[in-house]
Amino acid sequence: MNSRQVNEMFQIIKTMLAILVAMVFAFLFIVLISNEPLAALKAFLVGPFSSMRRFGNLIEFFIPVCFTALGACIIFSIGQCSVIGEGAVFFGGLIAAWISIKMGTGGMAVQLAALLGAALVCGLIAMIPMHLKLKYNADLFVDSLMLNYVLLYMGTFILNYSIRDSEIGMTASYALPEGSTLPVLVQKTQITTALLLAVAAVILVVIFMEKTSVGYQMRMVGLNEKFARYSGMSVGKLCMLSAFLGGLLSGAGGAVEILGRYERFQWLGLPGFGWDGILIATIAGFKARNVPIAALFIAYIRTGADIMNRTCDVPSELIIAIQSLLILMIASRGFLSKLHQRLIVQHVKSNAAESEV
Amino acid sequence: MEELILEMKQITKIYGNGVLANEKVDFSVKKGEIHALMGENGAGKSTLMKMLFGIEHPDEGEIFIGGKKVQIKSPTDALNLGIGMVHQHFMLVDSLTVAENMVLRCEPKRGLFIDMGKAVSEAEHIAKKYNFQIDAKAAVSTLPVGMKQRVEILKALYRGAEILILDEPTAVLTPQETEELFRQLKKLRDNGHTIIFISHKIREIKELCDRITILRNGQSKGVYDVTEASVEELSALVVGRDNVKKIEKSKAVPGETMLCVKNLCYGYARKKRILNGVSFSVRRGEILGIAGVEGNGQRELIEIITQLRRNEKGELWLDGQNISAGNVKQFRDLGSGYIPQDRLTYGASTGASIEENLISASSGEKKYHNRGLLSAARIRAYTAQLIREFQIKCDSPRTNVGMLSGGNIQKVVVARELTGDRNLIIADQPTRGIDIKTAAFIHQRLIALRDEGKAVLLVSADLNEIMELSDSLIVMHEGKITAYFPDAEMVTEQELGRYMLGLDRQDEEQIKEVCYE
Repeated sequence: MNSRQVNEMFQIIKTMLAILVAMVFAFLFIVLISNEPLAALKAFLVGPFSSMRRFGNLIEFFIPVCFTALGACIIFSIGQCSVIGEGAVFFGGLIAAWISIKMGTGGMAVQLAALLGAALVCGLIAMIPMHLKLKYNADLFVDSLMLNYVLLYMGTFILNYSIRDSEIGMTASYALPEGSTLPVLVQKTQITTALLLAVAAVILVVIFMEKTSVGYQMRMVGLNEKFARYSGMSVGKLCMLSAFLGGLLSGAGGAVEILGRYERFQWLGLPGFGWDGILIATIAGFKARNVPIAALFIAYIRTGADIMNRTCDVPSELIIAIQSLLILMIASRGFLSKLHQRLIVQHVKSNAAESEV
Repeated sequence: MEELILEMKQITKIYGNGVLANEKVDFSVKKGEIHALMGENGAGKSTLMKMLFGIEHPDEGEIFIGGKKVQIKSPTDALNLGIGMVHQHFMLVDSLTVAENMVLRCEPKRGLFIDMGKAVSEAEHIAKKYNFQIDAKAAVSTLPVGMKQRVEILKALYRGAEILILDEPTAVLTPQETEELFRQLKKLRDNGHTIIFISHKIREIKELCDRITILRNGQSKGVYDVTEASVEELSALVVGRDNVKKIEKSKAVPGETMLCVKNLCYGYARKKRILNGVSFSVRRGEILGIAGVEGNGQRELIEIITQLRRNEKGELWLDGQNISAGNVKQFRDLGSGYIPQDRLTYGASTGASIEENLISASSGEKKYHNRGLLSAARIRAYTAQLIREFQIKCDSPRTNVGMLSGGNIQKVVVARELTGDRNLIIADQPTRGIDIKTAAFIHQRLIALRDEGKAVLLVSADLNEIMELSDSLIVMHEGKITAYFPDAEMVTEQELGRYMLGLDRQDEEQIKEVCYE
């Protein structure tokens, strides 16, 4: 084993342990507050697999966050802290609905137009805060965060004045035209062809980040921007491209969510998939290849908590505490740093012993 | 018999990146001696001293001060035990005055406030006691490097340091400043202070020190009396072979002009131009050295040439093309390699693997690709060849560069920058902080490139390096070129020192000769 593998193994141990600690915390919490802790635990742990419909819920949650997590991976791996994913996923859903409604018919071409249109618009929007940062050194985190709300209210305006159906009793758009929504893949669930798109997106992003020189350059910028500039990479262009791709993916996530699971566009607030995407990307170490497993894990505990909430007396907010704990442990460098030091010392000593033999 | 004031026994330290910095090192110092700690860079000198000063903590081993076992958990502990350290990079607050820096964290108080008058008088008192000349009221930012170092020494003395650790104190000094420092250190020794002098310059140790401990690869190679051991013996112990030889090279045969710098001006610092009308040219087949005390515009000059810094005024021509308003990519595409002085910030990405570091300037090239995608096999083949050729020691090409020793990191940088279709090499402090073996290796590569007809521009604060390696020399002082020596062999160290300090200056006609068309 070389020292790189020691470090990689340590990262895995650290993530696993963080998950374990968070889960233990969850169990303790459930045992403490629930009158029927066993039933609650069962609902939480095996609930997502107890019926096809529930497993469907898990996958349905997986799809949009898979897109947003991929987007977050691309943006964060270039070392930029843009949280535009949340606004983009909302706006992507809206644009997809708008295009479908305005085109007024169904079919593959409409689906494609809605999806690509939404993705493209969100990609371009995500470039705004990045441009402000590069050009005027504005704070990217604050700008992207604020832009999320601009997008929310702009989207609400478009909904109200362009595609709102005034004949129904709630704030929602006209119904999406027949055949413009994505076809269902698994009966009795809302798992649509969006799942295939998500899988394709994972593969494409992994190839892009690991197998193209542009992806390689992005990772290098993220690791050491000065080194990248010194090496002759166009740091500014790479940042803009990563923002575009990040927004594009998040926008696509919003589009497939609306086109796959809704009859009308009816989001009146930010849906939260963007935040979940950042959470999942963090657990995945901002590596696209780890996104599916991390997204499945989050989808699993979300669905479990949801079922527990519906069938037992434990509120699903519990999950937020668990997630916070997870992020705290995974993102903190100090966590387990002593174990890391011991592993390295051990490794060096055993190497030294080997070379003496 | 003189007593041992300090003993470190069986010290072992392993860093988080897996580097075994010290392995069962014994180190002891007698009261009232100047004790040299010598070794190549990466031999573990600084680590050993950091443990003594409480910055790092040994994984194994014991430390005794005055015969008593101690635990040194922090620099505060060390100071309380009478240990003071002058770091390679000064730990001074630039905006404060000398007196304020000296009393920092043990300020004389009057009620709630700092008693400035007393601080100044105490600083002056202690400077006088040790015969250091210094203006206690001057802001540190206005002082030259040599003065800052004195402030650091005084600061340690003010806090009652009996044992003074100096980490490569002469690296930043001119020959004249070094002499002055040595006089003062000897005086301190005669006053009963004990000094640990870290260095890898044998000549200085010979001149100054009483005893010497040699470290190699993290292990102690023994303690010697400086007067009894010869220079050859000591250097053999340090590198494990004889290396006092001069750098061997044939006479340069300069060809056409490759890089031409015309009337470059840049920025202001303390109301003076950082670069003030710098003009010179580098020709194929020669190594042009830029000598000068650090901070006289060399850094800015090199960064402007290499396009890392925006050019304000003046022209840059490379291989017949105007790159006055160019970018790094253009600069590199014209066949330039650049070994930056800051290898951990610019030269390498410590979080990336050796492979990733080696291809950074050429990742878009076809040779790494297979059907449009990066091919791991092709990258592996290309980098394996470089690792072999440049003797980069690593357990795998996918090891992070941050895990390597300083010398091996520099080999990664050099391997990348010197390989490929090169016309011009810019080497900024290419061997600073590098072990002697690697340094010699880098020197050979640079000479070999020169012999192939490439142009080499060398900047170095190491007088020995700049004098031995360069074919011709220019000297920079306060943003100007103050001397040009077409034949570097005709210059003496003392002569160069006078130009570097700005005591001498050639006339314009002589300096202009460095501009070839």
